[in-house]
Amino acid sequence: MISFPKKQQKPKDHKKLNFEFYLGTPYFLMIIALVLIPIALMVLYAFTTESNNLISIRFTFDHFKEFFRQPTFISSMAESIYLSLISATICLIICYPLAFILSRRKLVTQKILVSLITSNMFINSLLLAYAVRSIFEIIGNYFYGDARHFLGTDLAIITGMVYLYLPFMLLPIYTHMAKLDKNLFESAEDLGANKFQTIVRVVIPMSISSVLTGFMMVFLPASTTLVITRYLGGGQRKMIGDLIDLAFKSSKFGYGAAIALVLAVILLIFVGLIKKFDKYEGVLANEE
Amino acid sequence: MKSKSKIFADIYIYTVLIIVLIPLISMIVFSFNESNSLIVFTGFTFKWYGDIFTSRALREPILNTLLVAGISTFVSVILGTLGAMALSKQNRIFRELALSANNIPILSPDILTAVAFFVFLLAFGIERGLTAMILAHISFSTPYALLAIYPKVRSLDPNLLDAAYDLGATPGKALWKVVLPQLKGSIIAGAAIAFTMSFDDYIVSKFASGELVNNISTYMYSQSHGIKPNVNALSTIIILIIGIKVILDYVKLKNNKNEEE
Repeated sequence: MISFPKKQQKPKDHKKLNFEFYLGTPYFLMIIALVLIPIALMVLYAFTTESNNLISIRFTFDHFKEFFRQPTFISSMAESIYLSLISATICLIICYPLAFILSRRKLVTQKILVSLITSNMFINSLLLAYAVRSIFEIIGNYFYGDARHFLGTDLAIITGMVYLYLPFMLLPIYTHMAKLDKNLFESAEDLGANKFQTIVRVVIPMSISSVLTGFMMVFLPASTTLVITRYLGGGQRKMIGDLIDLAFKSSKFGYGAAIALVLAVILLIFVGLIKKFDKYEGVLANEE
Repeated sequence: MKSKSKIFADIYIYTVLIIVLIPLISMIVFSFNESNSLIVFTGFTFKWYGDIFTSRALREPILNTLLVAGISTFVSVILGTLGAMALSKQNRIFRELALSANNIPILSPDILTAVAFFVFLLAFGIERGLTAMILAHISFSTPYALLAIYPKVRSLDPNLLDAAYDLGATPGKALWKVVLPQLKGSIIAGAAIAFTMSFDDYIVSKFASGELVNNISTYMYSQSHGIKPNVNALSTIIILIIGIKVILDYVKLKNNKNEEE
């Protein structure tokens, strides 16, 4: 038998590996203790009766039954999803051409414009929502003589959502567009495509995944907001976040956890649908 | 001569920019307003800026915000760096699993994180308050810090580390002298994201604090008669600091570009 001289490095590599794994222990412990266990507990609370310790629990579906029996809750869930889908669509319509135009400017101009347009991200979201509200109040006061004229309307809520979450749509799309190879546009042109065809056939298929990321980044926080209804809802509009908040305020913890769980499942379905759409488009883009 | 489409593009960019900045501008303008109102401008004053430092009601929320954001940023950057280094050396399946767990707090809406954390506090009988708030902020800031640092860790040249070991460095020394200096930029970026997240958070803070202690966000939310201009003044100062930072970056970028040419 021929034997190659074995490299002596093996045991050392092993030691290094171990060392780096131990380095990560605090991180892994944190994720388990503060992320995974809370979620498990939330599921547990949603399916059990109220009790103060973990031993005397009993499984139940009452919280879910109570939730689905209340038509107002179903309608506010539907309304949350409806309003945030519209807002995400408006953000997309604004940001897509914007990202495209920005990505073709000089690098310095790009950077400065992007940081200016996304500067709202650095204001506290409550204050931003309040600032949007005061704009509506100024307009309402000036034209209708009633500062609260717009509060509680779809217009006010959707505008608020667009202001708060626009950067989350712009940033992924812009980052993606900025990375697109400029030669692709030239080759499309050389192959006889006009500007419109280049955009439809080259730019859109290649940026679809960033669009979906942006869409989720707007849709998820918008549909569960507490801030927007507080300042722009005029005290009459209740969205799903407010219901969860209300349940916890009145100490119905299991019930609150159940609503949160239903919400999580619905959002997961939406995210799944969006991801599926992404795959489909990806295949198409490869074929063309 | 500009082409026609370029002019349209310019008009589009600057229209969006102006519309986006309207609330920001109104916020800054009304921080100088004489009266309490955020709707009618009555006169120019600096009193709200002084109020930030003298107002008793505002002092506790400001200190709490700085404390919570400071500690949680510090801890989450350390955890994120260590986690990123550990993850980059694991096999693919473990890595993917860990990264999906890491993405949970990022993707899940704040209210779900808040509810889960609240139930966690309840089940273990942990008292709500400042400590709980810090823990909660660590739990959602660390994943962002990790995501900022992880790509850089993966792109590190493994030969450098080997060279350090060959030259007789202990693992601790190699980490301190070789790995961390290369990660400095992304660690700072991670810290900036973590701090912004902590500073901007409202819902998780509200659930974790049990409304017993206030940070800026929960304080603002609890003002049922609307937000006073002193909060505007505070935000104007923060925006000013960030603005100066952006301008400095811009100048640096321009200088770098000039050197290259």
